[in-house]
Amino acid sequence: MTDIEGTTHRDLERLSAFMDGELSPAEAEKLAARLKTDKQLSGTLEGLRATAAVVGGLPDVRPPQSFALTEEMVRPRRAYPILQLSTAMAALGFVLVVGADLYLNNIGSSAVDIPEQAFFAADELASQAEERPADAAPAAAPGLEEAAAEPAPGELAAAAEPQADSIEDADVLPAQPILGADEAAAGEARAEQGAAEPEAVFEEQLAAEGALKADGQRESLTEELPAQVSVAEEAAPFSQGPLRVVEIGLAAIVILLLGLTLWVRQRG
Amino acid sequence: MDELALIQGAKSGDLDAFNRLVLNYQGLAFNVALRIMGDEPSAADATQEAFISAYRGLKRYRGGSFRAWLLRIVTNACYDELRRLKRRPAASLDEMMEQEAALPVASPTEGPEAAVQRSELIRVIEDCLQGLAPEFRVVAVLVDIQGFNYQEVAESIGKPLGTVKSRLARARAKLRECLQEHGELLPTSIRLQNEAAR
Repeated sequence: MTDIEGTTHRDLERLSAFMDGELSPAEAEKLAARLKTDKQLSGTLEGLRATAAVVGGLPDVRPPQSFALTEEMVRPRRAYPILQLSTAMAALGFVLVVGADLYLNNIGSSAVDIPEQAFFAADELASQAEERPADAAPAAAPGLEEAAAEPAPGELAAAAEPQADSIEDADVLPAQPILGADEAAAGEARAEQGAAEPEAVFEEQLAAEGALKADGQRESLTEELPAQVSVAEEAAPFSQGPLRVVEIGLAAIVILLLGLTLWVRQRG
Repeated sequence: MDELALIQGAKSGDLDAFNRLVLNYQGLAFNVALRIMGDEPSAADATQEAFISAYRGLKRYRGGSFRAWLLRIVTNACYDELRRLKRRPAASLDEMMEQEAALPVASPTEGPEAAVQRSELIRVIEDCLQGLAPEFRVVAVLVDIQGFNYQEVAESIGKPLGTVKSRLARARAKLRECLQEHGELLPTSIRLQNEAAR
């Protein structure tokens, strides 16, 4: 590669360093020998020397002012660390609010799912309970049928009434009496299978146990479901309302603070 | 008080000690900045920023040539200022006009014609310097104008010696080409060499 007047860049570098006395003694000796015979090379060297001399002839200019520092100039910059901290806090707040929103949405959707599932299960059980007594009745003795069947519906109806009032808003209501009816129907059916008197008494006990079990299930469900329903009711409107406003507001603050921090940093 | 004691005092927060260092080096710093920036207002801004940065970063100074360390800060401040001006070219127009007005006038010992020629030559050299890329310009300014050796330049720009050599050779070659275009303004010695080379 050649630069000026056919001199290679490597030679130009050597010549430049040579005139400043920055070549190693061995390199300088080698170049000096070449300069004696190579007119073009020596011409380039003289040109470089003259150029450096002209450029070096630029006069020094007196500074237009004193650059001594004042206390004000070197005062620690407090705005930057404060802005950094504020940005970090706002970003953390934003992450927490978004996390809370996601968490509440998750709880809300699962709580809403439970009553729906319970409703469909109850619906199915209700239809089964309605069918069973009708099928089993002809096979059982009339006395036994009365003994087994009577307590269960009465108990169930009595137990179901207050619960129906307490969870009126939830769609799970039909599940409670139907579940009890199913258990009662099971006990009833077992009672109907026996024809002998002692067995009838045993079956009667089974039917009563079934009714009691149904009562227990009803009670636990009526305690849990309203709580879940109320969480779902509270969570859903909250996450879609004020929480979203807070999220948007925090996001805007984070962006604003970040921009301001970068601007202050750039200004130094 | 010697330089080392002033540096130690400044490191421990003595602003007066640092300002004595400023007074020692402000001429050099401003002239280097002026040749890199090409105009006085920008050079003054870069110099002031450099001294502020030097005071704030004095704890990072670990000995060696204080002049080279300081000039590294000055050249970095000039690069920052050049970038800022590049982003806002309109702002530099006024500064260029101010620079035109600040060109040196005739000294009492020279005639008006010689003063004009000298001013013209200075303008041509400055234009040629400004025609170089900043990284080449810095090396040419430090070696050919300020008389630094290669090692000091390497410390000042934070590059190896080989880079300094290479950049300086290229800068000188380009400056020579540029100056030859204004042959009538050059000193007789250069003109004679140019003619001999042809």
